[in-house]
Amino acid sequence: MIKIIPGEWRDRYPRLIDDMHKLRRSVFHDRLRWQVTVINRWEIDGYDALNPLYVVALDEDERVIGGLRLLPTTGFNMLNDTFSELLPDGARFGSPLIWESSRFTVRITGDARVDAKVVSRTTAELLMALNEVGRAAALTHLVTVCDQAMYRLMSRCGLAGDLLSEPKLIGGVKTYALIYEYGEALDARIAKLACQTGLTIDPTVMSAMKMRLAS
Amino acid sequence: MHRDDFFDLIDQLSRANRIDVASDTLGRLLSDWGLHNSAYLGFNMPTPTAERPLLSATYSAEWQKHYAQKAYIDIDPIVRSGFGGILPVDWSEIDRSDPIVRKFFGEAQELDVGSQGLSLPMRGRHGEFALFTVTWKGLEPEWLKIKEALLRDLMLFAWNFHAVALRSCGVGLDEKKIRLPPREASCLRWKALGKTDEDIARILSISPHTVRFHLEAARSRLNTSNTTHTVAKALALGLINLSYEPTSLLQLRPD
Repeated sequence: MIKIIPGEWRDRYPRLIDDMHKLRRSVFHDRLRWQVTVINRWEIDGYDALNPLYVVALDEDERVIGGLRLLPTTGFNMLNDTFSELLPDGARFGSPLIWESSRFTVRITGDARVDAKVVSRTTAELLMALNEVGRAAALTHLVTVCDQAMYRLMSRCGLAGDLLSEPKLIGGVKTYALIYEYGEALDARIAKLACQTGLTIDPTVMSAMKMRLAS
Repeated sequence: MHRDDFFDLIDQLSRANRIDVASDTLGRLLSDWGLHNSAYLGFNMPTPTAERPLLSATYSAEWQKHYAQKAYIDIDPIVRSGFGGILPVDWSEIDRSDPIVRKFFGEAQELDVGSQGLSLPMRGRHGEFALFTVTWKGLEPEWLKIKEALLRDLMLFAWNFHAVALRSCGVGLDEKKIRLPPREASCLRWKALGKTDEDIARILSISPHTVRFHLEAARSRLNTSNTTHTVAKALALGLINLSYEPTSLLQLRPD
């Protein structure tokens, strides 16, 4: 199940936010050993302070098993302000119709039999949510910065996107800047992915978005 | 509206430097698209003098007066839903179980704000936040179709309107490329903190003449008329910060 949490309403979902930051720590800090800041067992950075839109994936027991965050490129974001070396010639993104996805996470248990199914399903769910949010905000493109493992995962899903520049070694991690175009081609690929993992377009995504104003 | 006409409006906005000029363009958009009202609200705009939010709205004088008298800015459910967020807010999604919220929308409807509304939150690189709203008179099923057809263009229009608002505050979006050399930034920062040229000379261990040289260089870089104006613009552009001295500058100081 997907839940969409505007950052400014984090106080309303303290457990999910706590779970999400801890999952991010276990993935980015403990397992991938990225140079990220850990405070009180949370992986958290300055972009979290900017009230991004969080998308979290939950299992049947409502535990967070995946997530990502979205920021508009008109304000501050990772590609422009942290990974600008991945942009050609000092270019920067600043469009109301382009958002950035970052901190894409899926929980891995280490048990290959469980992971094979859950990881692909959670990834598909998060990608479907990204597509739905893009539609709700009438976006034209999505940009993201990712590592090689993520890039390979996306490529396997048929969602490699377009590289903005040659991948670069940043902080010891081979780093890719990708751009995706919203529209029919992406819809079709995500629908195919959803079908393969046994998901149908999840109506709870959009109703969760509407509910955000009610709760 | 024809696509070319829409991009004509965007062109007009990109040449405008004043809210009233942008509002004329907005008026054309509203009439061409059959929309009823619009409002633009800019918070934390990058001007050292304007702590108050920047507001421009086409609502009836009665509603604007009523809104001010009741201090509705403090409880406005639309602002509360949009503030700090990034997703477009359709007014029909706002929870109305609170009687205060119901009363607000009831009075708005009575004073001809419009029955449907859409508010688009925006964020820029000066720490500012803005909300661009359009309203429409009619029933929800038709509104949903109109909204879907217009949303992307509205997002573009809203962002360009916001750019005009920034320029009206003296901030050009193209000025984000300006970089102040550390010494100039340091002198301007101490100026902003009320120090005289002599004070700054002592703090930075340079001559007052050199301080004035740096201030003049910054003035010319920012294309401003005097030091006060330069300080204001540097603050607005986020080139200097009152709360801390950039660590890169500390190394320059002799012991």
